[in-house]
Amino acid sequence: VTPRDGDRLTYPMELLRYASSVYGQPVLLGASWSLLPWFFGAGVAFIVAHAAYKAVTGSREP
Amino acid sequence: MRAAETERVVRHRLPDRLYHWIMAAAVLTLLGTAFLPILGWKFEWVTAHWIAGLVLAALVAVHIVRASLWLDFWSIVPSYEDLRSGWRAIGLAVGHRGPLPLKPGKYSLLQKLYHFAIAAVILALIGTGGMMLLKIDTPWWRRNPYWLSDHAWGVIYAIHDLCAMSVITLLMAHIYFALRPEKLWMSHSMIRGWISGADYRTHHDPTRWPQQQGGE
Repeated sequence: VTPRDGDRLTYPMELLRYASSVYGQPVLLGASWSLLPWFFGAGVAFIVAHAAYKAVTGSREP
Repeated sequence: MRAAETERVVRHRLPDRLYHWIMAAAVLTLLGTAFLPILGWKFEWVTAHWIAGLVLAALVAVHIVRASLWLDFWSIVPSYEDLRSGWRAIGLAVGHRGPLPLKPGKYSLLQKLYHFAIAAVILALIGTGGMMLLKIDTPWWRRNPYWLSDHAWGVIYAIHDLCAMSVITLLMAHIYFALRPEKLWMSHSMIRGWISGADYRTHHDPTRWPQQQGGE
């Protein structure tokens, strides 16, 4: 468990962020920010894959 | 200069170009104010974020009305011809021999699918973001965080967060294609408004996107 931003808790590679309520129960806060690099990485992977495909095929058109 | 070199076909009229670039500024503002604080750059981001969100919502509302009433709404909707052409393109890409893909109308199938994806994400962001406005004080209303349960707010935030992160991926692909050398003829039209007659005939099917040449 990695504490972050005071009462907010994030779990590595968790999909969601939770905090603890005053009763000690988990309260959903939103999506986990640990997903951010994955969305960025997906963009990079797509660009690299497409550029490589274009370079290999030598095509100037889709 | 030969007439063929000066032919112009209007692709994006001025209101549509203004919409695109103001929307780009709003989206970049929203992404910056959303993610820079998460990455460690602390500043007062909430006010700029919700104002940019309202600008984006207003722009999208205007765009929907304009596209429905003044533009060719169906030009951005995938058609049977698009799907058939897309199937042919996939076949060619994997080495099958067969008929060539058809030239597109104003937009290709992939552009239409991209527009569908980004429209769904942006509409979800506007919807959830609009609900989040109830949690902050603005000049027009006082905050009311008890409108929904904590769990319901968590779901709304989760949808907003996931859509916001997916905008990063979609935007990267959009900018990548806009900057690819073979797409610059099209990207330039989002600045100057027109494409050349040669590009029109090379990349489009005039029967699917009939245009008078001569510029705006």
